[in-house]
Amino acid sequence: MQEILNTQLDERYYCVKHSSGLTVYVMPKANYKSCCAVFGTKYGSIDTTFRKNRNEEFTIVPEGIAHFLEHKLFESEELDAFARYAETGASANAYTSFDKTCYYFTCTDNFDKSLEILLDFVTSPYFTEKTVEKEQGIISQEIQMYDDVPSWRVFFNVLGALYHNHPVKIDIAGTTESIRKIDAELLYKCYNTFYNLRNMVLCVAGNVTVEQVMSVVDKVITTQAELCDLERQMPEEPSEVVTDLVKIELDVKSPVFSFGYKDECDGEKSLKEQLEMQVLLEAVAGSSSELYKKLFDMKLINDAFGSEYFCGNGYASVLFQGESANPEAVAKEIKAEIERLQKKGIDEEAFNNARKLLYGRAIMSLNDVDYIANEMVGCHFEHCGLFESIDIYRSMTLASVQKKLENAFDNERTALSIVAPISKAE
Amino acid sequence: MTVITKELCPSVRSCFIKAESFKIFRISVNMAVPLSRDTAAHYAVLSAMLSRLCHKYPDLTSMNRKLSELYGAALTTDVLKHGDAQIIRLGITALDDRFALEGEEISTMCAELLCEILTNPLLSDYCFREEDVEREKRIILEILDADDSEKRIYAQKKCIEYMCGDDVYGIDRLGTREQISALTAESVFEAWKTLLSKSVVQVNIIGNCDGEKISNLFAQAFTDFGRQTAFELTTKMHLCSGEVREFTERQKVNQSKLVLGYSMGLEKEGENTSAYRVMCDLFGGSPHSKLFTNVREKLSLCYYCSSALRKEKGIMIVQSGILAEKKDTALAEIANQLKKIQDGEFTEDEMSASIKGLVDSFNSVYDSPETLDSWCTSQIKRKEIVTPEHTIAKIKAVTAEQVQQAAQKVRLDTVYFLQGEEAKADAGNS
Repeated sequence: MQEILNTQLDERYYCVKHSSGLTVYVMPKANYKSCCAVFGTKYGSIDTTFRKNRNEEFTIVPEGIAHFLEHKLFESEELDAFARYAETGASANAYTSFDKTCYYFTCTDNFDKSLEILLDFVTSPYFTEKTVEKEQGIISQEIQMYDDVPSWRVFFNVLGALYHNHPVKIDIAGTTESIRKIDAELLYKCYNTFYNLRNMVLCVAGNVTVEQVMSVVDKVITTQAELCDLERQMPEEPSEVVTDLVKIELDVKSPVFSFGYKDECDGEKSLKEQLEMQVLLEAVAGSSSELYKKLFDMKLINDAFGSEYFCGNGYASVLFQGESANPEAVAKEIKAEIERLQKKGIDEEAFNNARKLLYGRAIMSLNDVDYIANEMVGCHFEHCGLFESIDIYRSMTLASVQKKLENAFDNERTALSIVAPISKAE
Repeated sequence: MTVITKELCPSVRSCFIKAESFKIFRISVNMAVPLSRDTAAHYAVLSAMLSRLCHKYPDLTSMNRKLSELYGAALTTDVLKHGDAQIIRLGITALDDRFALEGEEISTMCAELLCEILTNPLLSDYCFREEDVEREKRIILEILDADDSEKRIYAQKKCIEYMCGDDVYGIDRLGTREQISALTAESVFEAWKTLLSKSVVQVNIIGNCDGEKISNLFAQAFTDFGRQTAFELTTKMHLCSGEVREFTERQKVNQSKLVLGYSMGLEKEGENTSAYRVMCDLFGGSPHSKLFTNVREKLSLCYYCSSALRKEKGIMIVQSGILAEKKDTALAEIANQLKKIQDGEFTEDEMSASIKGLVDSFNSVYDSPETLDSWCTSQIKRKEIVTPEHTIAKIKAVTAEQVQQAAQKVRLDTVYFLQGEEAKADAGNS
């Protein structure tokens, strides 16, 4: 058992390598009432081409299958997982993102029993053609629901404009067409590849002890996972964008936009690189920046305006999103400001304020057990520690951030996505 | 948990919860006024204005720099409908004092900032500046637009609007577009004076900070401003008018939205609603509920179908996203499931699952300053703040018979259907 300590925050958590191959993290917080446990696998919507080991051919699966699998795992031959949780009072759910699938619960009582349910149902797949068919109805309604959400559409459209081949451009749930190609056999194939305990992690934060967690793990997980040699394949992605503008019309009242810069990315960005970009974005476009004030004064943005560094395996881009009567004008102002700052440099005070803000927010986020448990999952998959970001913010320099500004933004590689109200002419 | 309440001046009180385990603290100022068609828009625009600028930090950049200096303190503003009251809520969440790099007392500085924002706004000739009011009018209008664009929010709003008709609860928390557009700097300035002098105020202070010192800052601020007799806040419970009314609207959307508005049959404010909470959870409040297991899992009709209470007004809402042609099937199944609870067709296990789930969620209120803050705010009209334990004890005491009775009192009042038609906007490059 390894202890990871941060003396400044007076916080610690523990990492245990279980004999099964599963890695377990626990952050005990005795003065909390609740507990959150997250059981995650490094498997998300972008993992559509893979092989279980080097001797096999690559398999290509339908888009949306990781998410479909997440839904299906809740079922079993007997009681489904929700019915079992009903006995403990825990509040349970799951989510699938681009690069991981996580099953979690929070509770203030009956922790051991709930953890037993979590570990058991995720490690006991049960699919039949009939239950797969039933799920297609539910998920196609989920997809249709998101099809009407302007912020969702504008986001995937900008990714479609930035990326030629990378599967990140596809909706996490897939499409109503792609999910029809999913059957029980394919689900088992994906399950057996990615739900290897060595590709998974269990993270718990809250009112528990390490011994308590490990005794449940020992009880439920009794077999040893086979060695994991899985390989994911991401397609070749050109550095150019697909198109610099994509616009659709929906039944909305006012336009929303997402404006992206495509950054170079082989493999994955380090935590340090990601945090430097966050500080940079806060300094350039955060609410105390000159750009923000200018856009606000020009009546081009409102409080919904924001930016993020969006990156993962084989993709990285800077995204600015918001609501605006004139998205083209917003994009133009952003480009001009980037160019100006590339020449003039980032103001030292702006940099320090941004750093201080993000440092504060990083500590603030460690207040919440749900956040901590989920964040530990992300950290494990990205091979970094939970407290690392705080140290990185403390030691970050203006020069390194300035360098990011010079490299990550190319005004020739941008795309603007707009969802606009249906034009009157129709 | 102890809530220390203190009367700061007439109808202004502070609620302090000393919580040492958190890394953050939260302070919020909650000001309740009667919800009214004449003033809802004024207060909505005002709340946005106050949090944007003030005399001391007269532009966006200086205000936000101040917040960055306070280690990324988050200044938030909300406008809520709470029964027939409108609550204007300014809050700040920031890092606990012990993490300040240079020993600053962040909590006191944040409290001072809130007082400053409330009582010392940016003025010109003893009135708000035209440009500031116009800016916030635009912002509030854009929030209304965004609400309308999110069909789930839109459909629920429309249902409530139709359901309440002329009753004040039917109006949007932010007022109407027409009212917002008609506001002037003078009228919003008058609303500010009324808000500070006549609203019912509750200041929530949660965290490891000096509650006494912070309370005194607010006592001083409100006293200096001058208080008048505060508003009376009463709510008329929603009761059914008679037969079920149906409204259908067509839009170009992929998924149709079905929203059902029910009266809970409560006659007056402050009745014990514990049995309703259990009934609503059993009906459609959780993944083991009747609606989830039948409308979603068995019939595969939807991704979501859930129920929720707005108990301050005596309303229950059921909502679901479905295919247009499945409307009647969904309606029939929702009615069927409610009837089952009315007829007592639910097991002891189902009921105890709902009670356990509710107890768990009330227990988790203790684990964040934000949830404790909301908990206190929801009791702004009560004489004393009750703790989650108190509510838990009442939930645990609910019997199957009471659940059945609560369900029997519930009446369907309004059905709103947002019917989707030939949507699928094609992505076209231009």
